[in-house]
Amino acid sequence: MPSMNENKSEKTTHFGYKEVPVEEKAEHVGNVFHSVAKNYDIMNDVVSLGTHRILKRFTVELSALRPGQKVLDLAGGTGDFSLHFAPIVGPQGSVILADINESMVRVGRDRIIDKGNVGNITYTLADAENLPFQENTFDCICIAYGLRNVTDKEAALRSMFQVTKPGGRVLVLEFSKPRNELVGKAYDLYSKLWPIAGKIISGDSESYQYLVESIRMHPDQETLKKMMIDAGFSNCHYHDVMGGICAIHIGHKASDT
Amino acid sequence: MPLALLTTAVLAGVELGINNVLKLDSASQQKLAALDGAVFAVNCTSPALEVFLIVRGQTLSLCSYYEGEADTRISGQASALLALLLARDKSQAFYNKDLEIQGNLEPLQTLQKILSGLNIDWEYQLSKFIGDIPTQAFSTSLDSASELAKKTHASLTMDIDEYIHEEKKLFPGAGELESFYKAIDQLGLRVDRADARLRKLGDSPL
Repeated sequence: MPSMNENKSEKTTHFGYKEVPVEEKAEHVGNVFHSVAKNYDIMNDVVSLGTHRILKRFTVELSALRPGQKVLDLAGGTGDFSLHFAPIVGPQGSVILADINESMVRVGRDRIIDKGNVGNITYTLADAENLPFQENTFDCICIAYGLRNVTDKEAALRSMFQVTKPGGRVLVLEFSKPRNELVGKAYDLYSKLWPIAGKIISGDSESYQYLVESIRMHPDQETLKKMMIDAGFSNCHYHDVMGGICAIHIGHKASDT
Repeated sequence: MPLALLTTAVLAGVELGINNVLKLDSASQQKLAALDGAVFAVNCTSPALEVFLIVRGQTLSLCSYYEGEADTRISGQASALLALLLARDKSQAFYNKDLEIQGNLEPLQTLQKILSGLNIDWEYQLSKFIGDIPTQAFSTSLDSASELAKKTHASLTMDIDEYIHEEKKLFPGAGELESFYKAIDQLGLRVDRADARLRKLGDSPL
């Protein structure tokens, strides 16, 4: 959330534990993902001990997508969700992989094409705070491990609400706050290793330090749920996974909107 | 939630196993493609577990969560569902009072034939998702449950047989019937011999 820094005349927001001018956050985040794009999938496996695959699969089930539907894989990065969505919506449906970061979209597109999927997935650069789609376009929007990187999360949620069809839903998979103190401490300890792993795998520890810090700064489960309600979503609820280390929030757009 | 994730992981392994084998069996793929779009709900009442099988083109998806209506729903205890998988007579296996089927039976029978015809290394596929040790533990539990189901089925069959034949004597047993048939055959032979003697006596001059 942008905040007023009393010592400076410009608004600032958090970039990890640092405060940066609001208008610079996107560029800082962009630099992080330009750096990590090529090794993003490997780092996901390291950071989550491979469990991200199961979490993503579970999130896909919660999407309740059907053949012929249209889905937006927002902050879709390297295309994990798009690959899951494509066979579900089938040739009559469509998947749009959207990300603000060109490097991530390139990696995602190459990965998807290499897997032979060229039918119903299209790619676009898009800013989550100002989605370039018509109102009431998507049956489902999914943003996985992306919302915490958005500068103005409320604006992003409002934008998602606008482009979701009445009766559609939005899913937000993101790191959250562990429920159990012991789990929380173990997780904190483990996350301290990520910058070291980042240094070994991609020669970049700072980007992974940002990832660790951005998780700490992200709203907890109830706060994010309230933000979704404020954005206009109804029937909002969430599933804690792995003791609250991650959470899947679901919000619906009422049919009579 | 941990159970839901574990279920998801297990189903992912099973799904991968099935689809990998299907890729090697084009005939089964064609049969499966004929069921494209079909949704089957398998509801295990004890232990409580619900799995959805969704046919998508030439692949099968397994989910623990599905919001729509299934085309066919089969419910029963784990032992009854396992017995269905293990049954030698596939067509008769569905006529089990411990199983409840709603919806269209024929697609389910087709799916059962396809799956039972596949030769899948379940343990290898599952280990890719949950590791070797949990897979071994799960496999051992499943083998025990399967063995129990087989023994229960065999025992039940014997018990029913004994009840009908020995206790209630509603029908003669196989042994009794065989003795009866032998006695009839013996009687028939004796009648034939008697008939032959009579003819011989009738032909002989007094």
